[in-house]
Amino acid sequence: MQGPQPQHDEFLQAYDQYADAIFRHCYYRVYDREKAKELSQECFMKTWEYLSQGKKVDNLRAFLYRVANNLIIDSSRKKKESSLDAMMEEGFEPRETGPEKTTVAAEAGQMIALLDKLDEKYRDVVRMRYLDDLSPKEIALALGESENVVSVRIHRGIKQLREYMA
Amino acid sequence: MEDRIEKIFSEARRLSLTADEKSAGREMLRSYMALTPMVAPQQTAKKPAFGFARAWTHKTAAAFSVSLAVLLSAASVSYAAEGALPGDLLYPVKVGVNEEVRATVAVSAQAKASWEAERAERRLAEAEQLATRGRLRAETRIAIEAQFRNHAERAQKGIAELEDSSDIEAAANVNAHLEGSLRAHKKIIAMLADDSNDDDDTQVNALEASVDHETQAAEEFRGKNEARVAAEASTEAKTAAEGRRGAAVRKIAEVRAYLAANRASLGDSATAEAEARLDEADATVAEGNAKLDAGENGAAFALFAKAQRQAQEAKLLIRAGNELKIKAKAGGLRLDLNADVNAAANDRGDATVRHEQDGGAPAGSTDDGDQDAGKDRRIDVKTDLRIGSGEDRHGAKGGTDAKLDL
Repeated sequence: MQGPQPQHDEFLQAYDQYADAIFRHCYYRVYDREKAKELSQECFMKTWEYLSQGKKVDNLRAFLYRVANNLIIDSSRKKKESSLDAMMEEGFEPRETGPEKTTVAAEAGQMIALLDKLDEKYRDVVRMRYLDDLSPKEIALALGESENVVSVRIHRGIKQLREYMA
Repeated sequence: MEDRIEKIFSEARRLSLTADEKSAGREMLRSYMALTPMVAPQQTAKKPAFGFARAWTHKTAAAFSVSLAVLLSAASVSYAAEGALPGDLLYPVKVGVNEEVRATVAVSAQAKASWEAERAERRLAEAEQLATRGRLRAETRIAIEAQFRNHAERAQKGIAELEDSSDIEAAANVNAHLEGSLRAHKKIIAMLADDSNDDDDTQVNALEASVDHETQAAEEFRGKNEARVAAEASTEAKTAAEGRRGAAVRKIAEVRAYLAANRASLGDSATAEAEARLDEADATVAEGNAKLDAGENGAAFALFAKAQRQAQEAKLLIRAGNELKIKAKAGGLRLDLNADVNAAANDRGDATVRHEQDGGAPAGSTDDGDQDAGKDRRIDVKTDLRIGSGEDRHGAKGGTDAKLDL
């Protein structure tokens, strides 16, 4: 019998492939590991819900980021997240708690903090381009902007970042 | 410079889920997907972009209708199982499938803790139903009690974790739900304590001790939670109090709707009692508003939490009146609806009920011998449910008559 099994397997493969990236995407916005785990889990569930209704998705990866972005916005409306500055003062450092327990270099922590200083429209695309490793086309799909607008924003964002770092 | 930026970003990209987290997430997703199956794809001709949509053939149509039929019948089984009691054929489906699935889809920490509180409450409701039917045997009671404590403790652990992560509002919300439920069940169990046969009686008393224990834990937590809010900066305490007010108002509205839906089966006087209880909850909210206006945010927070608890208690008492067929006679069944729930410190173990059977048999010595099977059995009970100090625990003042239809 050809049940819903094949679609199931494909979606679980998509989870294997993108779970880390979506988790990271959430983490660098909420700076809370548990919260990021919840958000990324919910992102996959919501996406499955959408697909299970027989709706069509052109680019699953971009779609996942889009759902994740909406969830992050919803959750920040519900509760104001701690600002990164406040967390840095308390000695916060983005940390990798993977099996190898490597600490992300302090420099990377500062860089992420700098990202928060960018204008919002630059910040999102720079994050998606460099942290999430999405192509400008995928970012355009996720944000509902044209690819051209996205490319310009990446360029300007990096320029702004460079000024802050100098 | 570009290189350096890239290097730093690639460092940041190393952050990932642990293998355990990832496989737990995958399992959770898989269970969720089983719960939310694919429906028939909408499109036919176009090449699918993600490979989900497949050509719609008669063969797949048949396959889908078969799986749909299987899912529908599974859904009706799980729906039917919701009312099952321990010992029923479908009970394992209720606890092992329905409840586990709901536990899996509760994603946020608050939802998880709430669901544990709800499960604890469900176990008590089951024990009460069994007791009214004379089916609460020692082994069943021990099993239910273990499950009850297990869920209550998990709920309390979840509440403590919410508090630790500074989500004081969520912690207070779940705790008010849990505590309100426990207090209502404590009263219901006390009412059942002297009922029907001796074996049930012993079981109900044993259960009461467990409920007491968990209620105390919830009360202690509330004390700490309220103290913490009171100690907060005024703006934060105000926000917290306003959040509690929202939760209390929603709860009261929910219980009013519940009462409206059950009015017919509940009878006039029990309805009036429940309404009075809800009016009290409204009054508590008004009191809280006044405190909020006066800038006493900590006190307002405590009052709004109290209103929420009162509403939750009222809800469970309505349900008990309904499901356990405890019906009011002239004067109404007074489940001590007027007791001050804030008098927590005086309250432990002192809610007493005395049942006197027709013919003046002493309380606690009800005789099963004259009950014909199938005969509608009515026991007139004298109910004296009071909240007071321990010394006059067996006092009889303020007793009201109630009828227990079994």
